Amino acid sequence: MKQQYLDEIRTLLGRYVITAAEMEDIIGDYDRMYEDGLARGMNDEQVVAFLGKPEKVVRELGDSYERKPGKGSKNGKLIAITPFLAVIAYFLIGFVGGAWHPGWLVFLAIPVVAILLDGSERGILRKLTALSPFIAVVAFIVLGEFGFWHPAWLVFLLIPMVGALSDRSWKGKVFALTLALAAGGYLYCGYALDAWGYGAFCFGLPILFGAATGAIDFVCDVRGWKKLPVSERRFALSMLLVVILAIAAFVLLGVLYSLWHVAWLTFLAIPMYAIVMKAGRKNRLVALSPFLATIAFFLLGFFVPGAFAYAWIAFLLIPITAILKNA
Amino acid sequence: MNSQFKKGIIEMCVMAVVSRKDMYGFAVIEEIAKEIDVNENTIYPILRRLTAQGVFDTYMEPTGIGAPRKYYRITDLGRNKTREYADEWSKFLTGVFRLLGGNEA
Repeated sequence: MKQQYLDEIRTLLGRYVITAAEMEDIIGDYDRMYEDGLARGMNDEQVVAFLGKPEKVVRELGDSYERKPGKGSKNGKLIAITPFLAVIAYFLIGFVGGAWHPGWLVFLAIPVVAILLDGSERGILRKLTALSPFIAVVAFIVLGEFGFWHPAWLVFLLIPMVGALSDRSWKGKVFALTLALAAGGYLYCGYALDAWGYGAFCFGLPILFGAATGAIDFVCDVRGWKKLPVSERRFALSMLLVVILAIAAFVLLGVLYSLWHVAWLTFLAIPMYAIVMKAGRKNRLVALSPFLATIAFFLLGFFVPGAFAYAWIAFLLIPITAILKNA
Repeated sequence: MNSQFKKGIIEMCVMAVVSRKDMYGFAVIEEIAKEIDVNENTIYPILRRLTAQGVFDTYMEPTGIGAPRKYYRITDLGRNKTREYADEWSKFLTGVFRLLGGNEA
């Protein structure tokens, strides 16, 4: 949470003309103040409320700095025309090449161009982290077109892997390695031993490593727990219940019905439940849409013969929801 | 209250608080938030701006646990400015109270 808070401040400050030394000085100050807040017994939310949300902090700090000129506005124009170029490319691919699917992938160019040209995201790993969901989707669709829908879904592990790699500590890098090893082990069990179900246990490695090193945060702090408001405690317990139910559903669907290939969808219930409980009413549906689209895509694809060819339409739910929300 | 006016007052409070004793960022925010309703996110930028203007200088102090803390210390320039502001503020308040017909500050 602290790292995310500091990263957001860093990203937003990146929009101003500011030296690297000044940037580090500010980040260092907020790092110390955040620690001071935690040392006072505040939880993360209370510290953020006390120090101010990153947008507000940077707005105040920004009074002393100039916003970055020139390149931003030029890039902004390029970003703005990308949707039109994508539509033209889509129709060309569709009418001339007849490849409406997977030609729709050109629409992914819209967020990709925005990420690549956005000056506020510095560093290859940061850009790669932002790009990783799109890289994963493209790789997934391309591999799927060649008939590898399963186990092509493993490419989605790229997202946490790149995210973990961008963590400066060794823990993040080793966590990314354990994810790669788990994926490798899973593939080996599946292809070499024809034991996809048991192969899923390979994913215990990153979970155990993450839990042991704090890369995945399992908090067991009885004194801290008692200080939490009742609503937070209820939320934490209900999250635990959802995790247990998701694991139970995964194992039951796999063992009883051999549905390992779709059973992993049950794990999407974990982030979805967190979104339902924590996201504001306005943003809830937009935040849920990628998960709903993924579930619809896989259920159609696996249970309706030949449906993978058009099940991708489910992903249109994401931009449609976002457009409706902002209308 | 006009936000610029409020910012000016908070700036004066920050100077007054640090002039009494050297303090680290979190403690300054805490001290001020204890007395007046203020957006906490405005205080650190003020500390930073005043440091850049030479009103404060800073030094690091080990804490025993974790990273060392950055302390803010008032400079001679800062001390003079604080006195000036306090005088101006006092005169201003006296005038306002007279206009409002209440007790003088």
